[in-house]
Order: sequence, then structure tokens, then C-alpha cells
Amino acid sequence: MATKSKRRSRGRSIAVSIDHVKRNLDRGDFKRALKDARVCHRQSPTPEHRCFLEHAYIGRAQQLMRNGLAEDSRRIIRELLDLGVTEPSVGAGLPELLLAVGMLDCLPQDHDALTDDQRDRLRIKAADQAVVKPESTPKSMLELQDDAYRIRAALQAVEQGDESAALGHLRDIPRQSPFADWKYFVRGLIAYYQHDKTGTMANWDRLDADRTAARIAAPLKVVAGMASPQHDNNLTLCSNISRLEKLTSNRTVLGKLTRLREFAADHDWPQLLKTLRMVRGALRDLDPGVYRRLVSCLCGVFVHDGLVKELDQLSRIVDPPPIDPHWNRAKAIAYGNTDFYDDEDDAEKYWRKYLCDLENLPALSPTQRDLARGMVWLRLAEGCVIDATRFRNCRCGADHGPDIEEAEGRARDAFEQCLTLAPAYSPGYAAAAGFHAAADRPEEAAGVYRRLLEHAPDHLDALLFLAKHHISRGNPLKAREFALCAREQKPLDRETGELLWSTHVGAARELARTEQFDKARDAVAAADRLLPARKDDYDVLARKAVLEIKAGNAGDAQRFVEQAQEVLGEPTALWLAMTVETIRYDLPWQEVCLYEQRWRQSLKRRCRSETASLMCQVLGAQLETSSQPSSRNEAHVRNLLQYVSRCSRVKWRQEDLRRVCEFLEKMAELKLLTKFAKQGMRKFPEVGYFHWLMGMMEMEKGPFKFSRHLTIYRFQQAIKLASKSSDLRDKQIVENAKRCLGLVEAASPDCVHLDDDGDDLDEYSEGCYDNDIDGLSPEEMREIIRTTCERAGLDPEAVLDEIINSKPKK
Amino acid sequence: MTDPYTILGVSPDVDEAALRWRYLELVRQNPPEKRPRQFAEIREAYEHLRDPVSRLEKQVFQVQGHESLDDIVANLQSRVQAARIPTETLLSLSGI
Repeated sequence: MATKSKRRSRGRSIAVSIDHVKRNLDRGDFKRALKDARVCHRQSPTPEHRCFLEHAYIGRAQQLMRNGLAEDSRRIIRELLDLGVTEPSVGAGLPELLLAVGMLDCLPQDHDALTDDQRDRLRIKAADQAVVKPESTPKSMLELQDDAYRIRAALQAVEQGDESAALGHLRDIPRQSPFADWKYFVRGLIAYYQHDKTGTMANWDRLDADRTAARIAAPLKVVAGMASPQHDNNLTLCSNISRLEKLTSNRTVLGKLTRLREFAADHDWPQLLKTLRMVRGALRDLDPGVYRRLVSCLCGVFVHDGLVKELDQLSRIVDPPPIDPHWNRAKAIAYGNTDFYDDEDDAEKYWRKYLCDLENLPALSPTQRDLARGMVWLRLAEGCVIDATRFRNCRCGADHGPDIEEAEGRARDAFEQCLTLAPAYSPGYAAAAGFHAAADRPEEAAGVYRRLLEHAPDHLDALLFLAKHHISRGNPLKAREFALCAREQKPLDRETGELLWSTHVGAARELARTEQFDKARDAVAAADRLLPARKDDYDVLARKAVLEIKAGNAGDAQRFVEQAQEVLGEPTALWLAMTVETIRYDLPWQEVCLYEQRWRQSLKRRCRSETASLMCQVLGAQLETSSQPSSRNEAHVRNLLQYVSRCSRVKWRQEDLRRVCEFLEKMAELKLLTKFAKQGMRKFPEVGYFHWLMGMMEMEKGPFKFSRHLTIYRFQQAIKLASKSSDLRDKQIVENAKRCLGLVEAASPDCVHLDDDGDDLDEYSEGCYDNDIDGLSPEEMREIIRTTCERAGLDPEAVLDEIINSKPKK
Repeated sequence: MTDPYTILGVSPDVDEAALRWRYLELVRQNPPEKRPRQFAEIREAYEHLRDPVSRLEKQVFQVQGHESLDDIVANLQSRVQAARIPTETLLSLSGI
């Protein structure tokens, strides 16, 4: 073995030439270059060989130093110094190298080739080194040590969170000192820990890029998001960033996430998904928490923007969330968020699949599963209700009765599933009751709320609904039970108080009708206690009077009537109130006629703003609570409308005019309403209600006649003015005006198709025509045109004539 | 808002009692008079999660993540940034 080795060595030494040395130096293989250069120099110590040997020495020493092998580097440098440096270019690089390895003091005394510039640079490097490794400060520059220790003390103070001490250490370092750069670094570091980006950048932007402090600051800037790693694509920086990450979390995910963020910012979804596919495993292993948040975030973006295709791709790359094991839920929501109407069907399809997923979902407890299924059924039910509403509002003229029935049937089933699976989930009841109420099925709506009270006896909405329901059905005693429970829930609520007051008043009437007069008086007393401010109102006094008439106490009744007359001054409204109440209390016919006669006589008097308003209020309330229309009511309305129509020259008070308009709205008396709405606009332009009313009147003209701009302006004014008011009615006006404004604005200015609620029906009705027009008979076609024209406010015959006369020419 | 589960340091399947216990623990650590910002964050996150029905409702119907990618990166950056780096480690970044 030894023989073989010697033979190889001998053979190599023969083959070595100076060309090998040159080649290895060029390639940066200083180890081999030094070996070969030594051989060459030993074999033939020419000046050329010595030059190459010196270059090989210094190259190798620098290489070892860079690789952190300082001791080896020092050994090589010692050999070089023993050999002696004759080559000027080698001599120029020697001082910095000696400084780096802590041997500057070994610099040959005759080495005076350094310029002032080089000396300054060397001093700066020595200063940096004194901070990083104080023990290697050259003896010739020991004066640097004091400031270097100050910088280190400042850095240690920052590490301990004592910023003021750190700044104190920096105070004695002059601006011209080679340590000035470190002052900026320390100040920037303080700002960095305080998350003060401006302060950090203000200091670190002043650092000399070639110096040590700037190199340390670089990875910190990336971590703080002040610089991108891509801008400075070097390995040392990346490794330093990783070191910092590991220092705090033992993980290195920041770089990967930063890349994903940049793709997301550019909406470059294919690239993002491609990158995610590559890094998903690493991310999951490194930080499961961040991985989970990332998946949730991306899923959220795709679902929110309705990016179904991207969501599908994501579902193939990452694990599904525990709540959605087959991504059906996310897809259902994403389809619901796309802009295409047909995607609603896909959404429903995926919701139904998700219902199956929920049946055995391990992420939820059995109770939660049922509740979640109830919630999904509610979502499906709401979709069916929307379908039914679309059919109901469709103006294509085709008969959508079966479609509406089918959609409502599906809605009923879905609501039932919701209430069965989640019997304590109140939004399900509210939606189901709303569905029945909107379709004019109050009994079914009440049934839904009764069912809710079985599970939640104190549910306020249910109690209020049932109280109002029983009032409207003429059953105030039952209503009072619910109102009392509601009052217990909200003893200070104004609306609940007024509701209870109405039920007391109604109960008094019911009790009086069954001749339980003491109980009836108790109910009246309870109403007075509840709202003491109202106990002397003329209408309350009228009710008390009628109660006493019914009880046979004519004297007390007369006293109440006189008291009411004193309150009013002009008794017309009182006689109407008495008439209405005598009817409601089932008083004898003669008694009713007596007050009716008085009212009719009073109506002939001069019209007054207050009287008109009060009568509208009394009759409006009476019509709201009367379960079925009566000829007597109709006659009263007729008489009142005649009175109101005579009121055009009355000096209106704002509230009175508003009440009259509200009554006319209820009666759908458009001609009179327009007249008074215009008066309201003229006299009280500061009241939002009249602007809203004018906007509504404009809309009533129909889609082809109304002025879109004027309507928008009216609603905008209504919102602006009503928002400033504290009146509860104005809050409702703001909501209504906003809804109407949205609908009018959404309608195209060129082709406005609005339904009763203002819905833009173009998309759907066009679809109906396209699908069905071929199969229509001439009669059906004529009927469609007639209906459409009526809704649009056009004469159907004129339109038909125009169609016939404008046949397309061949 | 950052993910409420992350703020409270609980998993999405946490039960009501554990959630409340964790909330009270965090409030003790971050009293409003000393750390108002953290307290407000914790309170908001707890309000978000406290009602089990509305929590389930959000779980079922809300896919929109609480955080953007920017939030996640910023959160991670601030976690890294918040830790004080030992002086020797800091100086070793110079490569000298």
C-alpha cells in the first residue's frame, strides 16, 4: 500500500505544472492550487512560481476565513508571512485579512504601502470587528475598544428591553466616530422591537451598505416586512431569515407564505395553487396552525368571490376542514355567490349533499349535528320562498299558480324539517311564521309561534306576535295574556307597554260585553296605571263613557263625555269615537244612532286640521282591528273622506296632515293622497315623510310614465330628512325609502320593469317569454298583453293596434 | 379581525366551559387598565365565540376566513419580530 502511494505521489509531482496552479486559482480551488504551487516552488523557486504561491496562500487563507475556519486560516497566513510577501496585489489584501483573523499586529513593519484611504477603511473594519469580536481588536487600535464596548452594552440593554439605558450608552459616541453607523443600527433596532416601521427605516436607511451593521439589519428588515427577500436574492440573507424564524418558532414558513401572498395579491390563482401544491406538506408539518389558517383564508376568498373552479382545485390539494369533509358546504356557498341565476340550483344540490355529510359528521356532537341540519334546512326553505316570490311577482302573464304551489310546498317541507330537527332554533320559527304571514295565512303563522313557545316560553318575538295576532282577531283577553308575559320580559319597552295598554282597553270592552263590569273597570284602571299620560285623552274618556253607558251608569258616562268635550274643544272627533265604541260595545241601536247622528251633524261644521287628524286616527285604528268589513264602517269612511276632501284650504298642522295622509294611504285614496302629499311638500318640505310619499306617488305612475330621476331625488331627500328625526315612524320611512331607492337605482334608466315591490324582473320575465311564447294561443297572447299593459299603465287596445299595424315587412 | 380561535388559543371544537375558562385566564393576564388593546381583542374574540348557536351558524355558513393572507403573514412576522434576539446571535448575523 505504501509503495503504491509513493508511486502515485512521485508520478503526480512530475506531472504538476504551473498551468495546473493557474487553472485551480481561476476555478477558486485554492486548496489544490496551494498544494501544487508549493510543489512547483520547491522544484523550481523562480519569481513566477513564488508569485503564484503567494496568491495561492492568500486565496486559501481568505477561503478558510470565509468558511469560519479561523485557526486554519491563521496557520496558512503564518506560512505566508514566513515566506514573505513580495507581490504588491497580495500585500494590498493582507491587512484586511490579518484584521479578520485577529493578526493585524503581525503586519510586517515595512508594510507601509497603505494609503490614507486604505488606513481609514481598515480602521472602520477594525471598529466593526471590535463590536462583533472585541477580543480580536488589534493592539495597535486598542482605543477602539471603549466605543465598541459601549455599542455592545447598548445592544445588551435593548435585548433586556431597557431602551433608555441603550440610548444612554450611545450618547458619548461622536458623530464622526467609526461607530456612528452602529448608533443608527441600535436606534433602528429599538424602533424594530416597538413595531415602529418609520423609525426603523429612518435609522437603517442611513447605514453604510458595505458595513457589518447593514448586513445584520438586512434579514431583520425582511422579517418586519420592510424589504422583500426577492430583492436581495442571496443565500446568506435567506439563511439568516431562517435563523431568525427558528429562533422564535423553530419553523421557517415565512418565506413560503410571503410567496403565496404575492400570488394572491396579483390574483394569480393558478400559480398560487401550483405553489401551494408544492409547499402544502412542508407547511403542514412545520406549523399546523398556520396551515389551517391559510386553508381557511384561501377557501374564504374563493367562496366569497364565487370562484367555483379554483375552489374545486383547492379541494384536491388541501385537506378539507373538519366541518366540511367533502367540500359540499363550501361549494354550496360559492355557487350561491356566483352571478349566474342557474347556479342557485347547484347551490341547493350541494346543500342537500351537505345534509348527508352532517348526519355522521364526527366534528360535531349529535345535538350540534341536528341543529346544523336544521340550519341548512332553513337555508333551503328560504331559497324555496324566494322561488315562490319570483313566480308570484313574475309579469310574463303566464299562469305560475302551479309553480308557486310547488315552491311553497317545498318551502313548507323544508321549514318542517328545520323545526323538527332544531326545535329550539328560533330563527327557523321566525322565518316560517314570516313565510305564512306573507302569504296571508295568519293562523298558520300564529301556530308556528305557539310551537316556539312550547320550547321557549319567554320568547319575546313570539309573545308580541301572538298578542298582536289575537288583537287583530278580536280576542283581546287572549292577547292580554301574551302581552303581560312580553311586558315581564321588557318592562321599560315603549312598544310593549303600548301593546299591553291596547290589550287592557280591548279586554275592558270584551268584559263589558259579557257584563263583567267590575273586571272591565279593573282593566281600564290597569290601562290608566300603565300609561297615566293617556288617561285623560278624549278617546280614552269616550271608551270609559261607553263602558259606563253599557253598565247603566248614565251619570258617570255623561261626566266622562263632558270631560272629553273639555279636552277637545270641538267635539266632532269625540262623536265619531263614541259612535265607533258604542258599536264595539254592542250598545243598543238607538244609542249608536244617537252618537252617529251627532257626528254627522258635527261634520257639517267648518273643517279643522286637528279634527280631521283625530277622526282619521280613530277610524284607522277601528279598521285595523275589525276582522271583517261592515257597511257601517264603509259609510263612516265615506263620510270622513268627504270631510277630508273639503279640507284643502285648512291651515294644516304638520302632524295632522301626516296622519290624514297615512289614513288615505291605508284607504288607497290616491287622488286625495296626491293632493295632500303635494300640500305637505309645499308646506312642510323639511319633513321626510312627504318626500317619501311623493316618491311613492311618482312610482305609482307605472314603469313607463314615472320619472326615475325625480323618484330618486325624492327618496334621497326622504332618507336625509327622516334620518335626522327621532320619531319612530321616521325610522321606518328611512328603511322603506332606502329599499325603494335601491330598487329604482338598480333599474335601468332606459328600460324600467318594476313590480309592486320595485323588483327588477327583466331577467326572469324575459326568460318566461323566451320559453313559453311559441306554445301560446292568440287568446292567451292577448291576455298577456292586456295584463302587462295594465300594470304598465298603458291602454291595451292602443298597444294591440300598434302591434297589428306595425307588422314586420317582408 | 384576526382569527378569534387564534386570539384565544383554543381549537374550533372547544366547549363552552373551556372557552370561558380560557377567556377569564386571558383577561387576568391582560387587564384592561394595563393592556387595553389586547383586552379589547380578547373580549371581541370571546363575544364572537361565546354563543354556541351563533358559533355553529358561523361554522356552517361562514367560509370567509377571519384573516387575509396579509394578516397571516403580518401575524407571523410580528411573532418573529416580537422575540428579543440575544446580542451574540444578532452579531453573528454579520458573518464575521
